[in-house]
Amino acid sequence: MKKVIRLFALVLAVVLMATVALAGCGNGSGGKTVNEKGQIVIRIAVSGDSGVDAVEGMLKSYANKNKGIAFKQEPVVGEYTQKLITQVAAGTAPDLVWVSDTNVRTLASKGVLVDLKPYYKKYKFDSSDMYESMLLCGQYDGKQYMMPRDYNRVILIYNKKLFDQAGVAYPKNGWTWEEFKTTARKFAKLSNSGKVYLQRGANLQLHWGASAPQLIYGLGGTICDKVVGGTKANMNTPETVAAIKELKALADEGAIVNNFKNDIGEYSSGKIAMNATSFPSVKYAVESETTPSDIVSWPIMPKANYVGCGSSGYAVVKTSKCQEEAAGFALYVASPDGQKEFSKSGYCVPVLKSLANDSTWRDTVPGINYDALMPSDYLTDNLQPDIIVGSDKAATGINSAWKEMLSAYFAGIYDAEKAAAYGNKSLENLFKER
Amino acid sequence: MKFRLSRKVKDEIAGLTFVSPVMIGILVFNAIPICMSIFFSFTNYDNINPAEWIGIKNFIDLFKDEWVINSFYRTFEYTLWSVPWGMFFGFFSALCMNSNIKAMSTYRVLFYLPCIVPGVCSAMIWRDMFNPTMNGGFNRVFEALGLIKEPLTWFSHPDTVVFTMIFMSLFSFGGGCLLWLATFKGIPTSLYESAALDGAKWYHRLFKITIPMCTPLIFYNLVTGIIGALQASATAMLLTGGGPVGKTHYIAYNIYVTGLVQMDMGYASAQAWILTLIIMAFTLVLFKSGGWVYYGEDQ
Repeated sequence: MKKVIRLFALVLAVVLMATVALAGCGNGSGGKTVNEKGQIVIRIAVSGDSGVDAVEGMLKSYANKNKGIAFKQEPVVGEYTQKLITQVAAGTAPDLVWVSDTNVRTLASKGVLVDLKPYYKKYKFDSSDMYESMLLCGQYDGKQYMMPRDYNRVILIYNKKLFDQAGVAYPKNGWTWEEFKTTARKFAKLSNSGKVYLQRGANLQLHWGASAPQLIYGLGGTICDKVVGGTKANMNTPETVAAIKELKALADEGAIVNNFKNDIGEYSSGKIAMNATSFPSVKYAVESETTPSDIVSWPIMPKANYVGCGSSGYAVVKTSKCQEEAAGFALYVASPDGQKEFSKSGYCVPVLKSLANDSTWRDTVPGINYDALMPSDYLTDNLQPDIIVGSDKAATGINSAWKEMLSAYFAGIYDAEKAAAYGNKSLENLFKER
Repeated sequence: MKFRLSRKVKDEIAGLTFVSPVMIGILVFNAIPICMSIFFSFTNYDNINPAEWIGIKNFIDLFKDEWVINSFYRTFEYTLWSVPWGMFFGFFSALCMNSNIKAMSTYRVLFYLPCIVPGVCSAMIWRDMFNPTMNGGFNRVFEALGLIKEPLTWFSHPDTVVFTMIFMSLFSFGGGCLLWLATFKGIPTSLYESAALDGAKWYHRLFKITIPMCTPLIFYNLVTGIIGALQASATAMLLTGGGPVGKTHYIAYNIYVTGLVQMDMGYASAQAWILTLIIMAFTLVLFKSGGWVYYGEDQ
């Protein structure tokens, strides 16, 4: 038996030596990975195959301008953030990662990402040219951890065919909540049995963090004690109860979809006149025969003119051996050249004020109302509650808390008062630190 | 250095080589994570940064955490309903399938088919079937049959969600039926013949022969059913998200949320170990009270 153990020990030693030797291969000075052409290889994680398409043009363009850099794309399929966290914990994370605004806090609060502000000067990045709300998307604790790549403001896409059939005038930017309600009601069609709606006015996506909270605020309700940096739950108020009652009444009369008891399907079914969405989804709908569409701005709400917005972009991982080079690409994405390159994909509204009227992106989906996508005097950008709430723990569940309130009321489980109290209790629990 | 291996040593190497893939798998994917989770349960590990020792704080906290207590309560409630119903339905269906009617083998295949549908696909199908409006699959059928006038709420109401989950789980009874059928086939026909000669009715045969002879399988199903129900989480993750109003926020789902959404792996590990202890206690009680199980005359 001793011989067997000695043999196994020998095999183990050989395997370990081989591992150490192989791990050393390809590393240049400072631990940076260098390929056979002498280029520094930056590993970049993108979400799924669609992420590969989106970033491809920018990577090629940046590599052409920086001959000493090469990229290695690593598509992550499935639970993107979880896999990223596992890689970070294992010390195998890529240098650059695609991050959505809702994940910046998760990663930055754990010390995974690098602050990009110190690189502004080196890469001549002008942060004053970027929309402030977009810069905020990538910030945590005052530091810039993610550089946003596109400006996504929530808009309403509308089905021109349904509007024409109903003889209803197309909506115009800057329309009000009252005008929206009047328009939406015109499309409500009840079945002969009177039990289901065959057509509804709008799907406001009441389970979406970029839509429902803004509607609640807009109708006078609240979720936390403060819109930005809240530290206490504040859903159990008469104003919030009134706000959700107004939304439920609209769902009951067929003006909007009851997202917690959906009887009609999605906008693509052609049975819904308007749909809350953002620019990346517009292209398909506009080109569809079922839903020939155009877009219009989010309605001006009676109590607070908030419109949901958000972004995703690129961040540098702290364990990267080539942080400076990786930061160069992250900042290139937010530069005028990078933005023009990304615009060609057809899914990007630039994050830079200077490109607001640039034809590069305004020509990607011809003939639509591009101004609806742009910042305006009558609507204020509002980020999702999990990004702007003042507690890391509450951020992990604040969206579930207001959704619980809405689902309890919209599914008919509780009345509005009890639903608001229930949602509030869930959120209070999240604000409690252990 | 020259090795000369005896036949005995060669046999040992061959044996170790054959078992090593499984042993390495168990070690890497089971034993090490189990040991690590014990360690994590005494730390504030957040999935990324090094764990810091905090003693039994996680265990003290979880007994004060209303959300965790509620999750345990919901899990016990689900277990209490789902295990007996699942066993009864499986047993009853297998009894029917054990009868000598025409094309029974076809029925058996049809009953087994849902077992081979991947879990995620079946969850998608169930979501449409249990749509709580009149456009939902079951509601349409029931309305067409004149059984309902208002749509049934299924997953969307706390009063019906547990029933719906049990109803859904019953459709995958095919796998369990195979075990029941195998057990029925193992009962000596001479017992039924003797009973018939003595004038025993069908219910005498059922309660005096079939059920007693099936007690090992009943015991097995009871143990595995309770263990499975206490760890239920897939449906909550895919279909209900813990709702409505926390009714399906089972402890296994809470462990997932705590560990992977809130990134509090230390606290999640503590909850997982309390759940493990509860499962072990249930199993121990079942084994200690297993005198009613008939293993044959030699036992």
